[in-house]
Amino acid sequence: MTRPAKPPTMADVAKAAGVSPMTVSRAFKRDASVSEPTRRTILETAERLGYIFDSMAAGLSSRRTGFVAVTIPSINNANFADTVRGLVENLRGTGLQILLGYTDYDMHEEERLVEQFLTRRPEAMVLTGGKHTPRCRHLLEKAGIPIIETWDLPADPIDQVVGFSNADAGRMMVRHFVERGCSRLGFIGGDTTRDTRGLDRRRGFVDGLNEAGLDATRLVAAGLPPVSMREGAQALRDLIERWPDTEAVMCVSDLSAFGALTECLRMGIAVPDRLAVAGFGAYEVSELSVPSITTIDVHAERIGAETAACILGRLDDAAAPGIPEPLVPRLLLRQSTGGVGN
Amino acid sequence: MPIQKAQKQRKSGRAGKIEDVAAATGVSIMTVSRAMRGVEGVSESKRAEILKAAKRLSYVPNSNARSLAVAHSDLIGISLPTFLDDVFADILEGMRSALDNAGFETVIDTTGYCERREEAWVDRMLAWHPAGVILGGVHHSPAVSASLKSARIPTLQTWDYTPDPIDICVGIDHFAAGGLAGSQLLERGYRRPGIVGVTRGRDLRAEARFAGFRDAFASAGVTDIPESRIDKHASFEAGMLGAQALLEQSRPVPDVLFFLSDHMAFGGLSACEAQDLRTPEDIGIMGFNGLGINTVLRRPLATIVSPRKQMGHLGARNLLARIHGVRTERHVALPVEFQPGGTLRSLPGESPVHD
Repeated sequence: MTRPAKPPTMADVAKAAGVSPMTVSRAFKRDASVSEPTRRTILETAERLGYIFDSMAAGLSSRRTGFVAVTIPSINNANFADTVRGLVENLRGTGLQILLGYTDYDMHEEERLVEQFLTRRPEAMVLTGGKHTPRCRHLLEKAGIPIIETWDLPADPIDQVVGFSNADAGRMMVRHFVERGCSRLGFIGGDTTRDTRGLDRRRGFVDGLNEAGLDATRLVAAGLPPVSMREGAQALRDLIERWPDTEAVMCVSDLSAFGALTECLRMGIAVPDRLAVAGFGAYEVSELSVPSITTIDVHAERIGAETAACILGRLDDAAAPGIPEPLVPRLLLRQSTGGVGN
Repeated sequence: MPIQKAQKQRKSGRAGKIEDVAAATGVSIMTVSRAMRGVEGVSESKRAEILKAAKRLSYVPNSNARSLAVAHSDLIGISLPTFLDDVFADILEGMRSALDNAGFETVIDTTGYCERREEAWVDRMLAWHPAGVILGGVHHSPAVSASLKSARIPTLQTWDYTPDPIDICVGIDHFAAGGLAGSQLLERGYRRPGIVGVTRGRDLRAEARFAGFRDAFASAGVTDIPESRIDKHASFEAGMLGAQALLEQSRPVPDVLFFLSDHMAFGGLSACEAQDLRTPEDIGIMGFNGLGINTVLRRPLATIVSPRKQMGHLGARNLLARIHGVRTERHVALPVEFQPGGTLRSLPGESPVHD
């Protein structure tokens, strides 16, 4: 493609169709003052010239842009994909379009994205997580649109929240291990401030250990988020090398848990008899793995569906509903911790 | 309009306005505008003061208005058919450093393999005057191609390959990749292959691979290849169900299964194990892509590795060249690589992969 001649303008269309630019604009906005035959002529002319109606310019006066901005940390995480699917499917037919930005688990990147999105006037904004840079938070507070924080339970929400407590998920797993008679417990991942939700899960796990009076030092770093299967395998080796008598381990996600599990098989460590392994997130692989992996289901798709309901409620009715009930993470007992199931 | 009413009632209040910034710094609205756009006519110290005030007051210049005045922008729009697997994550990771370093922000839409949604997305993007557009795949409606061509937006098509792109293309030839899979299986003596995929037409790249696979087998006289198509989002489960269906229904029972992806192949492997079929002795398993799961499996899957990060890196580089008005290669097909793994019969002299 050689450097462009200028793209056709509204004035070009007006001239070619023999009408005023205002009429062209009205035709695109389906204004009743333009007759159907004239409208058709204008649209055909525009099509022929390759003219794109600038809905944003039109949006300047009507202030409707028809899109919802969503930030997610990572695009290959099946959990966030499920949330986005829940959101998209529940907004279908409402004329609202979803646009995603991914932050790569970086709060500063989130700030840049939020700023980019806000300049284009979204109808609502959905964020993954409840921790933001001060400036990002300020921008969001001043944005004057519904803001929904998800996947988290911030103490001081910006606006609305559809989420759950990550710390509770960590605590829940400690209780499960203790009930199974394990007392030497480790945690893989959740070691970087980038993934604040993973960090919260580890914090809850450590709190649970302290409350039970157990050793809370068996924490193994697994690297930058998202933690891969391979990094989970490496971290399991590190754990066993440092604390060979560990009886149970929770991994920051099911992907790292699957990696850790395959490493146990490779090292000849019997799961769950010698070491119980659990994950987080109810990824598909946890169900199919042999043995199947005990995990925590946080209802990823429902987070999306409830977020959609929040947005629609707010846009339809100025009397905004209160903050919905937090979702309660659910423990799925499977073979890898000696639970029931396949 | 309801939304405006909602805005007024929000305790958090409204976004700062350009007038507020002007009042706070004692300058005209035009001066604030100049300072924000970075154009001449404002001293550096005044500009810094104005930007600081704008930040404090949460004034965000309305780029809807701004884009009417200036042609360039720092936005790149990305349209992906899906992001339920690692493929596009790896491609984007490959792009990330190049785009970040050049100061571009990206926004993504997933079109769910729906042409109409992609058209709506392209309309919105064009209204935003992006610096460039990235499309996953090369199959787009004529309206999408026409819009992008006439708007003269630098456009990268990736993941798939076409010698006649809208603008530029960096991808892999999926027909050839499927052909490579087929010829490797033939060489290993397999003659009763089965194919496991998703609902026909949903993943056009996979369809091209399956066509190439059939073509390779046809040249060896094998034309009757059973297929199982599963309509599921969950790829492990889809692979498992697809393999089960072929093992139960196809007679003679296939001696090797070619899957849409490694994740489906892993699901299929579980189905075979559940039926006490040994791999590779009783049945061969072949995936596609070379995904992360293959780095931890005790017996890695045989697969065709796609160079996803390299594709992203080169694609971003070429797109940036286009954005800066530099000539670049119009279409690039990157090579793929066969990895024997441990789920196929080995060739003489090839040692089977176990740990």
